[in-house]
Amino acid sequence: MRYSTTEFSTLYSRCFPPAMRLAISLLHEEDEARDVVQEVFIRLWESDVRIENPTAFIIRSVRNACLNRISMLDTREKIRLRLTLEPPPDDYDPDERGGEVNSAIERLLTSRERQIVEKIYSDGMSYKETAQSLGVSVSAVNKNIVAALKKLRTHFKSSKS
Amino acid sequence: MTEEQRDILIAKMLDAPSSLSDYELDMIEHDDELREIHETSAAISGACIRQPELDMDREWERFRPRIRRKPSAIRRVMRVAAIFLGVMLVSSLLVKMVDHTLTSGKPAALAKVEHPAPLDLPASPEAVIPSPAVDDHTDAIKASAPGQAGHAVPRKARATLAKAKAPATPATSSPADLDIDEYLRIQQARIDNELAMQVAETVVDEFEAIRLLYDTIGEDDESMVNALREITMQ
Repeated sequence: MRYSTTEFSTLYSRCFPPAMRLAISLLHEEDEARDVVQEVFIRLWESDVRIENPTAFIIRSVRNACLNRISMLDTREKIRLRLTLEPPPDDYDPDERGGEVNSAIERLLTSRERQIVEKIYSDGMSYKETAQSLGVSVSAVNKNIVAALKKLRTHFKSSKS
Repeated sequence: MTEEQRDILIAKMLDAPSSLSDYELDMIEHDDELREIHETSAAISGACIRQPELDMDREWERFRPRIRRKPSAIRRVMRVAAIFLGVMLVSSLLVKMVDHTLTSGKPAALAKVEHPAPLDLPASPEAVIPSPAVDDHTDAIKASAPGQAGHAVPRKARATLAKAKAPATPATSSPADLDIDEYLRIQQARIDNELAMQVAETVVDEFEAIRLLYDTIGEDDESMVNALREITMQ
């Protein structure tokens, strides 16, 4: 039995936001993420069947579609877009993962390191722009960011094991 | 690789990934620490990226044109049938056009033959074949010299008449089968035949006149015979 347009509209309103959050956290680009999520909804619409748990189905489909897109990129492009080289675990939850990362940043990094991480990752600034905005040298930015990444890497590695 | 080189590579990886050489890319992929630092960087990027504020009404309006209901099975079958019928119609039209093109060389005249009024085409094949006219002329010749035609007509005149009697036109099946060339050929043959008949008639008349003259004046009067011969030769 297929969805009516009204039912599908309701389903879209309910499932689109979490699916979009997941796609953005994996692909790091809003337009690309929106395209993937819409493709999944189109497939569901065209399948002409009702899914018992549509939210879980859509989240799983969006995750797989994002990983497929990432796998089609070469290493240089993955590094440029700061995309994962290894597939995330099946139970990957962007909200949960985001909470863990932000918590580690708050606890483990110095205030300067936090500032630099925020400028580079949240605001998308380059080293030079970050150095100018904080009134420090580019080498200081480099030193701080490398130190921050090493701390976080050690933390995640130990928490994983 | 020294710690300093590693830090430079990390900085390059984060700030200027486009400038990484293939060797450096390979190193990042296969060095555990560098790969883990990249994965940490990817995790921070995913966690720190600003999530857009979604306006769901607007999102639905953007998405709505992309969905379209697939046709049901019956509609699909009907569509296939319609396509099939369309192909059949087009192919039959093509066959008809090709057939018309191939046969249009002759039939332009054939079409006129089918409507005889403008060309004054005879309605029946019998009217086209002039053989009955030949018979009429022969009968007239016979009637003009009763009792003598059988032996009195010279061999040459007989041959001319026999030739004229021979069918001058090919047998035709029906007017519908005639084209304009054939029709003209038949008309020409009929005219030729009529001319031949008139010549033959004239020869016979002249022969009859000479024979009567011979009977009247006799063969002794050479001067008269010679004069007649001269006239005849002219």
